[in-house]
Amino acid sequence: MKNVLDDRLGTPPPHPDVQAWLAQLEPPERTELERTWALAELGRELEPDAQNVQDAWTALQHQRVSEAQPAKPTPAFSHTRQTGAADRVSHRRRAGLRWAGAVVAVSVIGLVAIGWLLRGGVEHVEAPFGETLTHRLPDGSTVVLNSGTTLTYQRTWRGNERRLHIEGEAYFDVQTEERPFVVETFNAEVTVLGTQFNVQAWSATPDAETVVVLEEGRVRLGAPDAPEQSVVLRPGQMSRLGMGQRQPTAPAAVDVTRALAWRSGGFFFNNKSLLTILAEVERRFDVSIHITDETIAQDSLVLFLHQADSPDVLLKAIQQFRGYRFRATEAGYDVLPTP
Amino acid sequence: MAVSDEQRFATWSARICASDEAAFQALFEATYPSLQRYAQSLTPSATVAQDAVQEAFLRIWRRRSTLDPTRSLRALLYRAVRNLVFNEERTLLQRKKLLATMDPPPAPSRPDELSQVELLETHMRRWIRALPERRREAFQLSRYDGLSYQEIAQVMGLSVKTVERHMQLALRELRDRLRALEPTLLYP
Repeated sequence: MKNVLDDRLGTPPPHPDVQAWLAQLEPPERTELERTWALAELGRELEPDAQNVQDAWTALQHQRVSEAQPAKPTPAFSHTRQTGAADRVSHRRRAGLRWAGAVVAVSVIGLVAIGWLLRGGVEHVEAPFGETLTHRLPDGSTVVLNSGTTLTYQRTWRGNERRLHIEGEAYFDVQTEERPFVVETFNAEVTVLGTQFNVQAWSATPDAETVVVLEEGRVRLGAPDAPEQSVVLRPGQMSRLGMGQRQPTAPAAVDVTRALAWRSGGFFFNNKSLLTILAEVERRFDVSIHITDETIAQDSLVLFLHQADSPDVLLKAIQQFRGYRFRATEAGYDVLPTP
Repeated sequence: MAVSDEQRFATWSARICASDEAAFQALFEATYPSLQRYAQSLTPSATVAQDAVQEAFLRIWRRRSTLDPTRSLRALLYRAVRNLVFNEERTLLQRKKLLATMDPPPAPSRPDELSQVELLETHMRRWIRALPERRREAFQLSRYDGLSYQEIAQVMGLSVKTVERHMQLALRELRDRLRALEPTLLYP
């Protein structure tokens, strides 16, 4: 995965004193510590903004003037005067967040609209933007579709398997049966042996991949044309298959609560680009978000929310940590660079 | 960058020594945000932090005739801020001890707007705050303020060797925490 954080955090380079030490280390540790140094930028505490610097300069000028008059001794610490300045600081910060209040919350109370399209016995189910949708399959299994996800399958399963196709993200609770349960995505097949699991496969995103998280039971993930390279997941594991690849990643332990955050109305992104993150926000809340700047689209971050009832919480967090501004538009938001 | 920084400070030092007000203002505008952040990292009180920074600049101006361009003006400023914060903290602490019996219960920690939001930034800030006090201070001075080990040693009254040790331990500790949180961040 390309890590855009690198470019943004790479500057400034460590002080020569630090560099000299890092240069002495063996490669693996050196790389890690250089990267830690870069990521530590994220821990920088807030600095006063330009207006506050001006206020402080004016205050300093006053004090110098009053010092010039010998009759008035200058107290080293003059709390009353400075308290006002402190209040202004916090006030301004609050004002910075107030944009959200001005935003017309786009609330979608749309009914659960199911796209029933019967084409020659093909069932086509679609969760509209702004909704998730629970769908019951003929065998009694249930599928919960994330916003904007489509599910397609033959109405009457022929042969001895239950096969369906998804574009997007869905959570499956599968009835145990003799017949295998197979989920196709644009590049992968997940074969199920009675279980609960999540499949994420947005084929149109730049870093398109199929990600499977298993909660209970057992599933197998592989490329349709390379079944011999498929992997079997155990509960609590995750595996991904990138576009154009044949070998899924080795199953690895994952925090299932986080990985399935969307099920409780939340979000989890592990170092994803804002393009990917905001596309999910668009689908989930049926809003349109326009990114005005390519660098913003490529900026990436780690983000986890248990629950978000509106886009505001999420956008506010992005604004606070990245400094981008969100301007309300008729259909949603424009993302603007830091002023 | 470090080299040109040193030159900038040396130039300011010489000009302020000659009572050049424009240089004093330039120094103020270039360093106030960092000093304010530094002061704020030493005390929970915004008032104490702001007053210390103000007073540090006033001292520089008052004693401008004694400035020596060959010595780090930046280290001098940071050291002044540090002493002023600690002096004031000591005074406050004594006052507080006197009033201890009447003290209201401590205010609940500020409501965290982000309690539902976990971001790497939040983690990183928390980890840095959790470093042992002097280690954190040394690390912040190097990482965010770009001070040399020599300057940090002057500001904190430590040997260069000790500063170096603090830096190495701080960086390794943050590395270990990152490893535990998300190994892929270290191996992109």
